[in-house]
Amino acid sequence: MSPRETSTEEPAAEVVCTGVRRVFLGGVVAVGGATIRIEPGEFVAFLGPSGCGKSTLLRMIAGLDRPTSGRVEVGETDPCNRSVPIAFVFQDSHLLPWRTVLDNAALPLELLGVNKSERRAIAREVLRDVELADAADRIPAELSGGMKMRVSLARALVTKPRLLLLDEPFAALDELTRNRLDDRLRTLWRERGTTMIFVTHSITEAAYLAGRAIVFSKRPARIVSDRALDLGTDRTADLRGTAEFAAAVRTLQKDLEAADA
Amino acid sequence: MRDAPSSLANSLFLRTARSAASKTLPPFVALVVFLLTWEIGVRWLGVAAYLLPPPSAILSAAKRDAINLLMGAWTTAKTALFGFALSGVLGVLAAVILSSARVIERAFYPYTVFLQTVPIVAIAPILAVWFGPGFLAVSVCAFIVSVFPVIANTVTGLRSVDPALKDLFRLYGASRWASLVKLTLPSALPNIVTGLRIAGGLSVIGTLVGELFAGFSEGAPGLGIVVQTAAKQLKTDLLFAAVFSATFLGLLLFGVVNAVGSRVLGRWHPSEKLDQSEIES
Amino acid sequence: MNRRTFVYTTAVFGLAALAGCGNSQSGSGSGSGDGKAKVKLALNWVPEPEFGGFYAAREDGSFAKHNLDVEILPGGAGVPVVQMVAGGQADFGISGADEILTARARGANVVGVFAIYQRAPLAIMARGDRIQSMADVFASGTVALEPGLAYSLFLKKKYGFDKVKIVPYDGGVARFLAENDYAQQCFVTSEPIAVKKKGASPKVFLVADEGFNPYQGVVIVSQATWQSKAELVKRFVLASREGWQKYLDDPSKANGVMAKLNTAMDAETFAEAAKAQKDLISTAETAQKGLGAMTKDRWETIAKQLVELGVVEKAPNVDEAFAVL
Repeated sequence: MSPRETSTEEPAAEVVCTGVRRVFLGGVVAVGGATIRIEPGEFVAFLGPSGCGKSTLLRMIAGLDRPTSGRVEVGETDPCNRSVPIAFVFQDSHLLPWRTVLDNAALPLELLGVNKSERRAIAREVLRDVELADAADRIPAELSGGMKMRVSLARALVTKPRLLLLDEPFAALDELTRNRLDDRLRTLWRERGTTMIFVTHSITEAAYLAGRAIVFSKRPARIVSDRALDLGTDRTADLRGTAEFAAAVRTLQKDLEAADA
Repeated sequence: MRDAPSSLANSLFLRTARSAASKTLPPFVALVVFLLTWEIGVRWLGVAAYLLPPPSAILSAAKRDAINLLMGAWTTAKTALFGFALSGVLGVLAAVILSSARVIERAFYPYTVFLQTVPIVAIAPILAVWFGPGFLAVSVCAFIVSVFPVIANTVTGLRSVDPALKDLFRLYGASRWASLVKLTLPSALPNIVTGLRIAGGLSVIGTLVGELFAGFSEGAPGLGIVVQTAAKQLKTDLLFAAVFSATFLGLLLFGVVNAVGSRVLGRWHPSEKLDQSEIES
Repeated sequence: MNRRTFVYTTAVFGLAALAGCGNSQSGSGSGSGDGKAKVKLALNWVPEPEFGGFYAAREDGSFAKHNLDVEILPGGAGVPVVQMVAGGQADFGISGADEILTARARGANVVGVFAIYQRAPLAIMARGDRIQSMADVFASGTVALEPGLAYSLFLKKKYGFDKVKIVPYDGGVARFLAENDYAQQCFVTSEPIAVKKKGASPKVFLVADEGFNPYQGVVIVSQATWQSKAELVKRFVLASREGWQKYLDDPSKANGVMAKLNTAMDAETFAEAAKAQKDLISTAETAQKGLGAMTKDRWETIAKQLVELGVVEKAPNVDEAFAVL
């Protein structure tokens, strides 16, 4: 099958946060002591009011920011060392407008020093996974919002990351496109088994996607609840109509209301 | 069926021609109206030709002194172009160095404003002493006058790089050089083009002023010298002809920068894509 | 004249501005409170000894005696005096015979009425043992000249510029002091004194000695003023003549006044310049005819030379270009 499954490398990394605090210059406390353990291959949603600090926590897990106190470990190393391949999907697609879709998707490999033909071959393959093989030679200005986001996703996947972090990636898209992308993301997760952390403020999105939801309070972010969502592995649009889904949404709703109080 | 492509090409051609006409016609008409008003106004009011000659007199002066004007324009164009190139290269380089570290920017950026405020009439004679009068000294005048907008705009562009993309490059451990070449400079390109557009006109002005103090040593005297000579001898018609030639040079440089800029930027700028979608529909 | 009419590109704007207000009058001859005629005199450079007589006339009451209230407008680089006088922004102005004739050829009708310099103070200064004459100046090296000037065209015709490098005159003396084989145009009362103060010993050659000697420091009025207010012009000329005589006798008082207006020049330089220009102003001819005198012969010579040099296409009628008062 695909080369990834023959890889001897562990496809997924665990994430351990121990008493992580982040205080910004000027004394604003963004994250106030978070302790989380995420098992390899888990799909976790971070839920919370907007601006609560969950994105800051995600950046610290990515190694883009450092905790003021406490410790973050990804695959038993400091993420700032970049010894474990981590990918990050931003709130918007953030593509390089002067590059083709293919070269945008290949960018991470380029920065890691992979030669041109090899990185393009890999990028083509990933583009096929997000159904953009035909658009490889187009430029971002010629793409719709959903297509751009899929390029962004392909770019994140191109390094075969062991941890994929997504910061409200589909928030700017219309609902139909968003649902489609949610399904695509679920599929990719199932195929690859990568650990995924998905930050959102949409309860239904969290419930639909994740196997586990952690709800944060408003700033400074503290963990209000940490629940497993037992909604099965095969999730389709029908799930949204079921009683279990409604119950899960209701529970998270209550947690979130408590968080915002 | 067979002639469909040709009729398509035909209609495309018509459309292009029409759109070109709709772009060039209004300014052309405005110019003609302006020149006519000038010609008639000057004659009607009896304004002395040594104060404000009518366009017809300027045109005949331009014909009479065509050789002087053309040679002068060539000298001025060469010098301005070199000064402009210096501005482009050194301006962008300076901006990159300035934005390489906050400390450097804080320490040196305020002093680049000096370049904008430096009285070129005072500096030009000194440049002539340093470099010897002629091409190089005048080019440096053009450079001094035109480099600031390049620096200022490039710094703005380098500063406004998408922070998420900076994070992305950091995430993959990109080197400073890779970030500069693959992210920061291309991101700043629209601003750099804006800076170059302004610098184009300024380099011509800098050349004209520079010529008065530091030019003239070899080759044909530039347009600045032609302007000065005409003023001295009260040949106001020739003076205007030389001024218009210089203006034309400035516009030409502006136009070239614009054309190259939109060719380079057009590919990723959404507004430039409209034509294509029109064709597709 | 040399740097006094040095034209920067700003002259273009000056012309445009003048074109816009060409008909405004400066109120020549309009009475002031005490019955004196208020007039304006536009200088073509900053207050320096070359205008000393006018300041003397003002300070010692010569203007007042002739019932004139004169406002002196100091000039500077690029002040278009001829256009100002022709356009009526000033009643009187200072120019040169060559410029007056050129202006008339272009339709700016101004009339010269009083010539301060009988011999043109226009000169070339150079340094080095090699140079013993004007011809040596143009034998090699670099010469800074203002392009388009009648006398630089004259020198070009006479000596040719093939062996020298011609560079634009920049109004200063920095390059003269910095470079060796370097000559430049000058005003005998100004730059040579300045470079001597810096320790250089310049050799100065008058263009007048080469055969080009237009009257300089010429008081001009517009043709209209001359025709309608001849009496006023006459009073101005008489007062100026008295002022200049006083200045030649003792320049110290007027120099003191000008030194306050032109702080860039020190008292010593004022005194030296006043001394240096004396022989150019007071000659055998003026002893006979009075200061400021002009002859038709001289005007015709310069008119002929301007045609030969190609500055004007046709010699203007010199009878209308100047008036002896």
